[in-house]
Amino acid sequence: MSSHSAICRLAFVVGLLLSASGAWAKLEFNRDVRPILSDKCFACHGFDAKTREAGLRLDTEEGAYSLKDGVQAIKPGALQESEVWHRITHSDEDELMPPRESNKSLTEGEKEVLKRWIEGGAKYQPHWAFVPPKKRAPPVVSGARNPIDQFIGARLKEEELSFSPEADHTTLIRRVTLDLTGLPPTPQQMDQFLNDAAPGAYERLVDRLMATRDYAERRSQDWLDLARYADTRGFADDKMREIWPYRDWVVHALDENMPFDQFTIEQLAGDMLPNATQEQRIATGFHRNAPQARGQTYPVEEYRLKGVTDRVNTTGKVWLGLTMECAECHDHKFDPISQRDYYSLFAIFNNTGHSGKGHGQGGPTMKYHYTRGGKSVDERKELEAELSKARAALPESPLLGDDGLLGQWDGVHPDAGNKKFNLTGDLTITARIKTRQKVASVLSKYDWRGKQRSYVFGIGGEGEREAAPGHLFFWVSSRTDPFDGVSLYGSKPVNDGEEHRVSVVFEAGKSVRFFVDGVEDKLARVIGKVPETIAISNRPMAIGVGYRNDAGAKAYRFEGDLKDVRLYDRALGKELGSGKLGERVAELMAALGGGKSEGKEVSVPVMWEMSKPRDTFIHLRGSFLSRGDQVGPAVPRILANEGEAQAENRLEFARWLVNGKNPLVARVVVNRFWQSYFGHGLVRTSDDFGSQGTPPTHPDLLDWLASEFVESGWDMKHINRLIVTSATYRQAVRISSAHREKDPNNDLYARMPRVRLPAEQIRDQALAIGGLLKPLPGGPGVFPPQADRYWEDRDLPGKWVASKGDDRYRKSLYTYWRRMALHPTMELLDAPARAVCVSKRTTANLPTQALVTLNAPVFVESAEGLAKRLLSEPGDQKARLDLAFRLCLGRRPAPAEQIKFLGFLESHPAKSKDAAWVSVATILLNLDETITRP
Amino acid sequence: MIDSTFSADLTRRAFLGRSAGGIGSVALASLLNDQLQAGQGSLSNFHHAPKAKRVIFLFMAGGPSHIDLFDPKPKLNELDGKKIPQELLKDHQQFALIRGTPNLKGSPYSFRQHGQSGSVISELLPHLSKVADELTVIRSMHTDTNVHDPGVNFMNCGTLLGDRPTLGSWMSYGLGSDNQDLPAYTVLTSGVSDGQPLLQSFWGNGFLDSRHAGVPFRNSGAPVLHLDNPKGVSTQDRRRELDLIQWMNGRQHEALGDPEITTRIASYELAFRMQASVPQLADLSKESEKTMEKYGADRVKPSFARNCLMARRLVERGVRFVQLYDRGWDSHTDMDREHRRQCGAADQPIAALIADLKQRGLLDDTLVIWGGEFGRTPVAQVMGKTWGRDHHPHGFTMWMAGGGMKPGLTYGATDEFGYHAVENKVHVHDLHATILHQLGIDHKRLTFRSQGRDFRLTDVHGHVVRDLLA
Repeated sequence: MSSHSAICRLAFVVGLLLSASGAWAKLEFNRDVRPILSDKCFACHGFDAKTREAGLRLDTEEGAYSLKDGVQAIKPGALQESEVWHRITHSDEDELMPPRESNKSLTEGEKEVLKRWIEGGAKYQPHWAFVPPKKRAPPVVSGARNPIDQFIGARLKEEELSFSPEADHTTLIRRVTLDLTGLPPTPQQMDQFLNDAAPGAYERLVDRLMATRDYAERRSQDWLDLARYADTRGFADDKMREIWPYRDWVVHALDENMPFDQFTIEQLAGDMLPNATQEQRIATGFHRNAPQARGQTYPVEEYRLKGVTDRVNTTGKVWLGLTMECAECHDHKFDPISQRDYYSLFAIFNNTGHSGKGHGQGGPTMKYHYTRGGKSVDERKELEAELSKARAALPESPLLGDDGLLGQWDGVHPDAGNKKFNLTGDLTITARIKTRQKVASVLSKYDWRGKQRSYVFGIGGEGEREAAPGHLFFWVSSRTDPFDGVSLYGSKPVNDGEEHRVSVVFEAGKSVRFFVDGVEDKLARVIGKVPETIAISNRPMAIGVGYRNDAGAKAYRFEGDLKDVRLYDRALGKELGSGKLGERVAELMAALGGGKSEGKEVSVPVMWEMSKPRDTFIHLRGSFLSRGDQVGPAVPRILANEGEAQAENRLEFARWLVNGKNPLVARVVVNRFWQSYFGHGLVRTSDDFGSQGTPPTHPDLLDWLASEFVESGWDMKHINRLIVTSATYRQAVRISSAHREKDPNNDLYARMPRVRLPAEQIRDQALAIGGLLKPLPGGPGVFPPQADRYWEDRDLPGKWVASKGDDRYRKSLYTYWRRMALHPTMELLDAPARAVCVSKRTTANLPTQALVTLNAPVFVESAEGLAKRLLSEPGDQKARLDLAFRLCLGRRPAPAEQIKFLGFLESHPAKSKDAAWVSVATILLNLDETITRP
Repeated sequence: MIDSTFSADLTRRAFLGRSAGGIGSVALASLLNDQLQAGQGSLSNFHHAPKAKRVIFLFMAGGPSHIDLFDPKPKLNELDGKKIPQELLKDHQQFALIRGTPNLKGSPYSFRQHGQSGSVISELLPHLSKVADELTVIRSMHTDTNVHDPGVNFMNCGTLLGDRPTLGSWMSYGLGSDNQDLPAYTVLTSGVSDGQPLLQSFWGNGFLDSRHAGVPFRNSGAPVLHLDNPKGVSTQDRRRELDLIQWMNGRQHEALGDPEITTRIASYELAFRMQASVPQLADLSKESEKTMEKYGADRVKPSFARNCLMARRLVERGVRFVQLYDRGWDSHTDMDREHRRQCGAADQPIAALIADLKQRGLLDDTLVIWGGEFGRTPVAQVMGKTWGRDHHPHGFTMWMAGGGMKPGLTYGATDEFGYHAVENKVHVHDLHATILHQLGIDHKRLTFRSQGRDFRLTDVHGHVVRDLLA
């Protein structure tokens, strides 16, 4: 939008200046003049001394007024004696400012503003955002519910506008429920609110909504955009990392309304707090969300530094609302941030370990035990106890018998003989294992690198891409080379340190199956075709060890207990099962989330300060190879308060941010809260409070909210509550001709804007309406179905195995967030991939989005769900239609709508009533009204 | 942007829904009408007269070997097997995968001059040799990295991290589309998997809004995601549903006056039209047997050849930017087998595409670009009996055709080893500046304000390489 915004802004400002009394109102430097100077002049006449032209700076009074060779750039009150005026109006193109090559020019309106400013005394003001907020008493106006309305109302009055009437109650409950919880209100919730005639009904509704976990989840979504939270590391390999406990930490912190100062300190430096708890360390995942390159081709130091750069830039954006990154290569052109300031901040974030090599490279991680899903710790413990009892009761070795038994071993045997084991038909391998290894061989006559394939059974698939670490695998080929056969991969890990009886049964040309603890693994993945015969490898049979292009077995050595390994030359059947007890074990394992060990312990990336800090240097022109001066840790000079100790490390820096004296932090945070409800902030550029950003439309309100935020003890719910209970928020949305004329962009808030729902809410709402949503909290990312081969066609490592059961219908917050190939429903509906910090999403309105809500499986399923729900309701078509409208739109159909829809149903060509209602459901889920927050 | 665009821009903004509030209620009919007009870009006027209207970028992902395809080096052949001279290794980062001091490796392929221009092309590209006179070959490209994904990002958006808009996004943003029924920026993929994934950032919109993102056409199922109606829903059924959706949306607009609603109405109509136009586009049944033969393409089976034909059909329909990713060029250890395979699949269709565009009069204003994220080393990476080459960013070849480039020109040179670009060096930023120039855009003046700064494709770099222009 580049200069559109500047133009719109100016047009708006000029419009306002003119509108108040038909004449020019008083100019204000920060609001009216600074944006022009900053955008058009500062690049060459600003803070950056290196690119300063003619020694002239216009960003300070001293610079602008100073006399140089008898010429004064700006002489207050004297237009004709101000060189600036001559240069910006010069007829000679070579003399004209800004110069042509800058691709910038001043509009007539802008020149007029500068003229009036110089004539009026050319008064400078310090940049508003660097001056601490002042809490001024809110003006007295009518129709106000709280101080927000007093500030908004006073300004409206100045502009001869007034508040719109309050929205009707059906709109209000839908609006505030969608905003606060990300979900539509249920008919019961609507009834409760609509029937509550006592004063304070709306406030009670807000309190109810804010007390839910849904509220915390909805607010987390915004924060996770800022935290660039994703489940993968970025760059080409884009591998999974188990950082989701950080996401759950955010939800939890917001749920318990953790004060924002603590919220800040724990995320930036929780690891450095005295006696840091496990949770406080997990919070530091905030800055481990930075993308991380891995693999042997990335120059390690270069890409480590890219991670640090990202931390500095993200911190600047999230807490300071400043575009720090400009100062990575040179002094900031527009704001007083020097390159030295930048690298002083860099020094604060430069001291996290970066260990490992190649694909193992990265920062510190922490082992974390967690409880999963909605199950409480106690519940889980009970199930686990029953499981271990049931396990113990299972016979150690089922009655396998000796029929067809070719060999039986304990422990590792690199050479267990050869010819005898050249099987070509059915076979069974079974063993008792107890290990924590990710990759280990149980039995092998298979060396693919040596082109000697036959069959192999073990854990982790020799580290191959399709295989999952700790899961069973079995490969069998009918040719020694190349592979021509079948691969089988177990669905659950078996490396939990518990003993398991694991078996594979191969029936030539027919089937291949795994059994774990007497239960068939029916979810095991079969890839390829089950061969009729097995090739004969010249490798000797190896037990507990495998081959890697060598005549002797040396690789993938089994560490742990390996007992009772048996090989049969026939396909065992019932002998492997364990009857009812085995089935109960399987049930319990499923209830616990797919196995006692799964997800119980994960390695979470965290920050960890090195005992000796790294040396930090200024990187000349941003290149880490060109070192400038060495710098120590420090906060940006413009923000340093006199008499304050310098921030020597991350913890001190985090505390400095929220010590209540920083002029930016509270403003930046409350502005984003405002943005979340009104579609844009009081400062439109929510990530830039510098001089290139837009000044606040309501500076006193912003300051009041910021001060209130700090005074309330950084109470986030308090500020959010103030906003949604204000009369400003409760207004109707209708755009009148007065609005259109005087305030087309709704800078003055004479009405409530409509806001299209974010991607997550469009999907979640549909699921909720369709009766499919499963509101389970937390845990690893889930895999709702996505288009077939979506990753494979792009050659991305890994496989999207669609979740089954409840996980298919979880909130989108829990969808596995892959940076390099986001789930297409999310991507197409404008959710960011979160490779970098995002302060405000862009929202498009595209045909490809219409195709999503019309045709994507999740929306089709939701429409079918809704139809089913409606058909199961008692009553006639009208009653059903009523319910459908209430579910989707929070209101009943108008008479004309009722006639139209009933007619549609009546004349629907589909034979079945169901299909007609699915059609109605599809229509309702696709209305602008449905996907827009009213 | 200048003042005169202000009012036009407001309408466009209202249509495209960038503003939360809205500017004014514009009647639905006029909006729809407006929307059908060509050129919805941010530029109301070109910076200068354009030579090209659209671009086909043939991206050889993985990095094709300049030394074996376009840049013969007799000296290198002579010194084959000798240790690489130390002075070549000065001042640059290590090789991507080779460790230690490797040996020079000459090219085993023969080169010949072709056409009237005498452009030099390897025996691996016999078909391309026949259209040699159409090519503008740049032998002096260089880039900033020898790692794949940062390299592809750099070639697309001028930064290693891929956090900014790609060339196609900038074009969509600046010029809009000549066909509202199809995405302005389309991505087609083919080739063999060599472990280098195609990342979202390769066609990403960065800070531009998502209508400027590339739309990857899929090789399985419908070309565009969710294009097909759900099972059992006919076109007539869908039309009936849409009619009611639009009726409801129209009521909503009347009641609330929000122009965003009219945009929604238009989006749904476009979606419906896309459901017809995209399958028509992908349906090759009306292409003649002769054409299919020329391209060496199957009407249905996905391949690079089929994508080349699709590229022609896309630009024919006014699509602004078509990018073909052909994978499998990352020949580290078995150069002969892999490059023969890649050339075998790509050579004929590329030549056919150029000839076809020319015959249809499209080549004049369609810029075809060929190249990868970097070239390959003049030193060998040996694996047993076979050999290959590592990633090489310091000097490599790209070529362009049509779109007002000087045909038959061979420009710039690498040193006698094919190692460093030494004569008339062309950096990726320069390439970008030159491409935009041909489209009538001054690369310094196509900007977007994000976080207080005016960003551009070429960042603070880039020069138009005028010697390349016809």
